[in-house]
Amino acid sequence: MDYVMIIDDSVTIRKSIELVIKNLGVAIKHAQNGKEALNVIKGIKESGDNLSLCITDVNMPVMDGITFVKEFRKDDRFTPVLMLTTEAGEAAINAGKEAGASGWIVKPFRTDQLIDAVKKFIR
Amino acid sequence: MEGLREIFTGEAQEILQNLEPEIVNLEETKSPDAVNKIFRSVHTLKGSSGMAGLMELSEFTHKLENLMDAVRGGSLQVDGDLIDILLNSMDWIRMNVAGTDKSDVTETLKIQLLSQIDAYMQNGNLSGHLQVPAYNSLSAINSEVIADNTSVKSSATDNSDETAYRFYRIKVVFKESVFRNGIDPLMIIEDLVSLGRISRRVVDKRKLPDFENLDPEKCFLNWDIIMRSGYDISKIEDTFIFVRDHSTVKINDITEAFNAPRNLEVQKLGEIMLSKNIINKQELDKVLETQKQSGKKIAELMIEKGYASDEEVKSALEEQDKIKKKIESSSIRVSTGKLDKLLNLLGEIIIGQSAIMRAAEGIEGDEAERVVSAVNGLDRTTREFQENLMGIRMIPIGPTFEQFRRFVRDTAKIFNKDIKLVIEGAETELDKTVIEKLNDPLKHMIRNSIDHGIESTEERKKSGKNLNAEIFLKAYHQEGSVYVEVRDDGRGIDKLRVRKKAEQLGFIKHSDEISDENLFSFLFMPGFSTAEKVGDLSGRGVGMDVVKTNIDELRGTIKIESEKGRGTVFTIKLPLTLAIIDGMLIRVGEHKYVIPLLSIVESIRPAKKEVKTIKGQGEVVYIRGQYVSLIRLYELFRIKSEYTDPCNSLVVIVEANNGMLALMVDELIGQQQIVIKSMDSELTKNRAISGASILGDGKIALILDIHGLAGDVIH
Amino acid sequence: MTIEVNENIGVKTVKKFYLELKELLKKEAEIILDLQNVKRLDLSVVQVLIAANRECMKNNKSIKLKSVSKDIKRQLYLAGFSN
Repeated sequence: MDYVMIIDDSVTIRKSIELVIKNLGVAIKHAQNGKEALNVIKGIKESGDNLSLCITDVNMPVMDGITFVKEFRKDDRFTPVLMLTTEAGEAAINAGKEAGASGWIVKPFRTDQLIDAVKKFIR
Repeated sequence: MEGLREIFTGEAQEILQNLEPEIVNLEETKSPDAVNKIFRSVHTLKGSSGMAGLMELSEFTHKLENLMDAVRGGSLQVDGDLIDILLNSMDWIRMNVAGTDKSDVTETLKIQLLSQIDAYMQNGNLSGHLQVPAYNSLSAINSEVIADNTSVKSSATDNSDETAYRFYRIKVVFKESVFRNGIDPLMIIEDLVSLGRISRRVVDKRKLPDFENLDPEKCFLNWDIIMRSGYDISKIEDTFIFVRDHSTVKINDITEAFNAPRNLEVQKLGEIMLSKNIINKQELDKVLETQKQSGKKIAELMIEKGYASDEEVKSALEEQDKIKKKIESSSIRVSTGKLDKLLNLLGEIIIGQSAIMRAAEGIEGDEAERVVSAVNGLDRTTREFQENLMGIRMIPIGPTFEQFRRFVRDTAKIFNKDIKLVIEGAETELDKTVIEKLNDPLKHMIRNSIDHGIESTEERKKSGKNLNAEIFLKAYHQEGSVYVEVRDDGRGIDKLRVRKKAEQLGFIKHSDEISDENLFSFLFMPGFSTAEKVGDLSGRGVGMDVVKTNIDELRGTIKIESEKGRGTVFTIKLPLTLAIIDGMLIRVGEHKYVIPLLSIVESIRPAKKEVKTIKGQGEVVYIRGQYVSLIRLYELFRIKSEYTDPCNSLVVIVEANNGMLALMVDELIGQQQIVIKSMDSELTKNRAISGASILGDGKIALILDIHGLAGDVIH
Repeated sequence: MTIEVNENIGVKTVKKFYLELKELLKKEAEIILDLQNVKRLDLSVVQVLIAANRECMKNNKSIKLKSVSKDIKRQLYLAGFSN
């Protein structure tokens, strides 16, 4: 199974992303923050499945996106991570890149922008 | 060998020139005569390129010859595709002969053409032709390998509108660590090529280690791709958005060399019809514009638009044919080198002439007068000779202007602006060398106009202007000079901002009063840019100073006029000839100098009260309500002079780019034609000197560089 | 001998793939890689194939690809596997 992990504290955003990308033929897992995501990912890997992509928000309670990427990269160097940043997110983009994020989308985004970005990492 | 090549180059150029219209005609007439003629010409090209040792060209023309032979034998039909192949082949041969950019454009085109010719020879059409070069299967892979180009072919068959496509060369070097974070370079390359059609792809595998020592988690491959695409360069760049930190990407638009040559021939037909009053200038412009966008033939368009009838077009085509034949039979080729040699010899004659004139000064009485009047007669003849000689080197500026249509259209598109290019005075003739050197500065100024000069469509709407902006390119002769104007109807230059920047950079003080002309001349200073945001194309603060340098090299001047809300005009003024100028010979002490006549406004002997020293500006002369900086040439060149008081000597007022200067001299000797001799670089490093001339008595007179002087004084 | 390549072949598993291939090449004179389950390759895998192919040419061995999909053929072309 190929999974895409969607990490955002807003359920609306998670759902809307899911609607857009599930057409790409991937399975979706959700998490509300970085910490929860790390647990879900651990589960995916333990069951022998493949994680294709993480899409993560930056500002979240408990564990923010940047910290998540740093933690995640400690034992996964190759899975792409796409960050969702806000318009004034130049600093966040740089921090994210440094932490090991692969790409970013600026919120609010259009459906095709999301698909374009996702398609840069999975086919 | 070298000599042979030169001869071949000339021959090839002539053949190409005659061949191209022949090919265009073939499409209409499908006449066996035309086929024969094309075959023979290609055959000649093959033979002579082989003789000249140009094997690549020889092999290519050999293929082309085979193709034409098949057409001649009737086994292949003449159709649009064949004509395209032939015309594109002419382009390639032309580029190959000229030696332009061997690596990029010519290579792309050659590969394309050869595969098209092959396909045509095999199938009699292009239907089975793979637009992406099929690759050979490796000996190690026995699975049959065929490029999957189904997705690409749809765009490739639609090549009626070639002008909508650009060719890009993309070089990508990835960091070894690029695989980290989930980036797959191959996916990026796939994204990239989905935007168009690959013409060539080279994968650099030199860094890939031996299998034994391979670290499979590192990236070692790099790409060099040439592709054709209908997208803007920004779209191509976007492909690499997520790997900017992980790669070095170079993207160049290499289209330019492709389209220019064919339009020239076409334009001639329009000119014939124009001269016969069948169509008017506006109609012709419209047709040319549509032609560029649709790729249709001009004759077709004229009928289509109802500007001319079938018969009229036909008779014009016949006339064109006649002209071609006439040119064919009555012209000879002369290398520019020979013309240069003639010009040099003429220079010697002029020097000899002034030697005779000088000798005549030593003779008394009637005899002297007879000599002087004889030399004056000779002078008229040499002037006429010179004009004729220069005339041979003159070519109309039209084609240079025309090529910017495409540039304006594309650039305007990038900035999302609606801009029309209007050309005036296309027939104005300039020295070939001058035209070549004008290309870059013109391009830069046009770019500047599009980027900064012309407002966005919304802004134009707000200020009630016509939404279609216009850029004018205009050339005309006036008083022995050539003028080239680049005018836009944009927002004009913001004087306050230029002023502020000039103050910031310390060129002027807050309290200084300055004319618009002088103020705008700061725009030509290196590093001077008022652009708030760095645009894609211009506004990096480089460029305008380069424009100025280019124009200076041609001994021309450039000035800017601008009116807020109405637009900006760049006016370039150039001397008609390069090697011989009209000069005023002056004397300072025992030394003679030349001031280019074009720069001289007047000469005066100032009154005491008109000469003073102003703080910050030094010594000045008050002339007609204006203070003009005084330059004592004897001080500048550290020589002895007869006079040290400007009120006793003479002052020559000269005009430079950014204002006037008063040059203090001992004597005005007289006006004469000055032959400019090249000088070694040590001397020309001096900003005050632009060259040297040999006088009748064999002595050397240095030519003053007025713009250089003005630059030194004013800044 | 024929090896069936795993559908998830990619940069995450390339090291394992590479090491296995390396072992095999020591023993076998001819290796056939069956790509029938593979939808696409990534560059890391293509690099291994290119390097392995070079190695085989040197030692008079061979690597062959089997069941190559159209997409993968195109990928191989883009990555210069056919120069």
